[in-house]
Amino acid sequence: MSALLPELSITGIAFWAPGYDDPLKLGAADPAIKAPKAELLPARLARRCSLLTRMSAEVVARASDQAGIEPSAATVILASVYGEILTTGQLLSMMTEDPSSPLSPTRFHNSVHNTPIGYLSIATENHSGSTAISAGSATVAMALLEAATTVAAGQGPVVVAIVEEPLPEGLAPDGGVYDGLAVAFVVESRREAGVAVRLTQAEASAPLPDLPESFAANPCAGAVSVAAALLGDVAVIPLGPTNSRDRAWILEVEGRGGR
Amino acid sequence: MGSYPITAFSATNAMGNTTAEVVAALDAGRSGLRPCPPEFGIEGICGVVPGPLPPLPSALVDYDSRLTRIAQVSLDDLSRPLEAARKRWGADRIGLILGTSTGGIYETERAYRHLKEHGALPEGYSVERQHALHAGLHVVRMLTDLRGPSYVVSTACSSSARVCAGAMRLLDAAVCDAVLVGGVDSLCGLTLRGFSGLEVRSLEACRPFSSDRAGINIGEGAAWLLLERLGDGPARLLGVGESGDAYHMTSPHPEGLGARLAMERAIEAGGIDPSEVGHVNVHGTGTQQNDAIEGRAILDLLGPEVAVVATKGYTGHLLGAAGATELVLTAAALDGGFLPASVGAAPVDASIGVRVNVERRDFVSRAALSNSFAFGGSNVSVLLGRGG
Repeated sequence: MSALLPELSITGIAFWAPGYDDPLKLGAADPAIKAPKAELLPARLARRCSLLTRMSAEVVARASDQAGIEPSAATVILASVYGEILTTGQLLSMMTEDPSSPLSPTRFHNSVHNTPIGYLSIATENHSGSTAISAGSATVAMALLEAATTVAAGQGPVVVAIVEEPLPEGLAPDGGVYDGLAVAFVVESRREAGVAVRLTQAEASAPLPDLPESFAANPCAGAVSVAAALLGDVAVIPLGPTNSRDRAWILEVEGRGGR
Repeated sequence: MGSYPITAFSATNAMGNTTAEVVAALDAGRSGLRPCPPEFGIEGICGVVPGPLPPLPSALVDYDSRLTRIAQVSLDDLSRPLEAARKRWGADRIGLILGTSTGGIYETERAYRHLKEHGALPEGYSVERQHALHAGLHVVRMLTDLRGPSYVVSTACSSSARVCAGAMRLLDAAVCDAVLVGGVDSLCGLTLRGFSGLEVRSLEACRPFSSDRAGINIGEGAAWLLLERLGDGPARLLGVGESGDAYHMTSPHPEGLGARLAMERAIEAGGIDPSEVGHVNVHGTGTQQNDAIEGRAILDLLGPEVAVVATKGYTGHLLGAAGATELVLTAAALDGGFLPASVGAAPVDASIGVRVNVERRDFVSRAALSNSFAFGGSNVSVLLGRGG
């Protein structure tokens, strides 16, 4: 039995990292881009939220705008390798420093992986079955697979937010220091707008952009390459995973020539 | 949306290491709760896996954690059904979706203490191989030799119920012919002390739906359900309902809106009439507010006659593993033709108005709902039917 994944359109693409907000302009960092605006969240709340949650709000809003969809009506899929790791790190430090004190209830509930989904659903009054996933080096591929099957189940439009904040200093291994980044894709059933794609499995390699050093080691950096490829003229976009044991997932872009 | 047979299940938790021990304790109304072991540094009652928890095979030794050891124990009972499924469908056609809330954080807590005492992380500690959510996923993939799509769902306490929704979508879209779904979480200081900070942790054994309820106990464990496109088994997955409260990060919507939506969507997806739901395995954490609001949602949707079973008095709240664990308990009850006792529920809080099943009794239910609700207003209700 072969997969029955629907024909899709990617109708919104947004990207944010410190110094960058356009996947096609990955040269010198723009010092004016310092903090995500996160205008979907009430301003007072946004000031208290983690970088992960603010980056999520930023790209979900911009991608939804571009697609012309209401974030309240979409299923949102948050994909992140380490999730709210900075808040978790703060809690672990507090526990270590003072093993007997109670933990801050706000920090505690803000440490769960689905924190951005919770705040976004409240801010936009979204009652859909939004989710939060993680899959190591397959995170980008699995997020888009989850989006495709969610569209197939009639629960679209879907906003996929692939978001990763830096690791806490103490935990970062050698080579594990990187800036945060966020990429969102609005995935819908095939329509005229946007980039027409099919999700499938195949061996593939494609010329992908060199990423800025500041976030090249971020485990979700592949999402930036995918965004750049969708906005450029790449016909077959590899999504990972890149290990030798698993078949890779690809996006085939329609109308961009042979494979 | 199709419906799919659950061809095998397994569970490891405070009631026992093996599925047979867990189901026997459920049938006998025997709670597994006991005082928290000293290594967790906190008083009160917990649901601890009895163990022992043997180390991982040498090829996976870098991934050693309390979480992966619990996962390994819980997979023992599945080796034959998984072998049959691999033979039938091919390993690359079998997906894996794992629910967990905190992954291998217990090892990171130890690493932070080591860092404070010695100025460096312990030799061999790796955030990627021990703490990360995908570390547990990798270990389960390697232990089961599954090669289809695999990912972790982490929506706090609804994680391993939500895995069923993803599995149904993978099966409906023919991306997979079988999916192993489950959940695993281990006890750790963060959740024990976090729920204490929220002032919802009871120091006594939890009493869901009782008028004497005073909060939750935290537990640990793992549970799995093997879903296949075709086959026979103890139960069937009929439908899954997901919803968001869009109300508050930790408090449920006061009218139970999200809980009701999730149950409604599960029943609709299953294509049955609400009157056909024989019993509801409640989320039932044992806090004043949560139980009252869940009860209200059940009353609104299903009326006062439907039987309600609360099982956290057996295991504690398994957080990211709670959904799958309670689906296994629900499947075992459907298969065994009984309603488990709701341990600790007597005297039942009559003001909630639902019919809580206090004593074990024989009962044939055509279908049952199992609820899982989480931080962020993340709700999932799963509809199971009898197998065969």
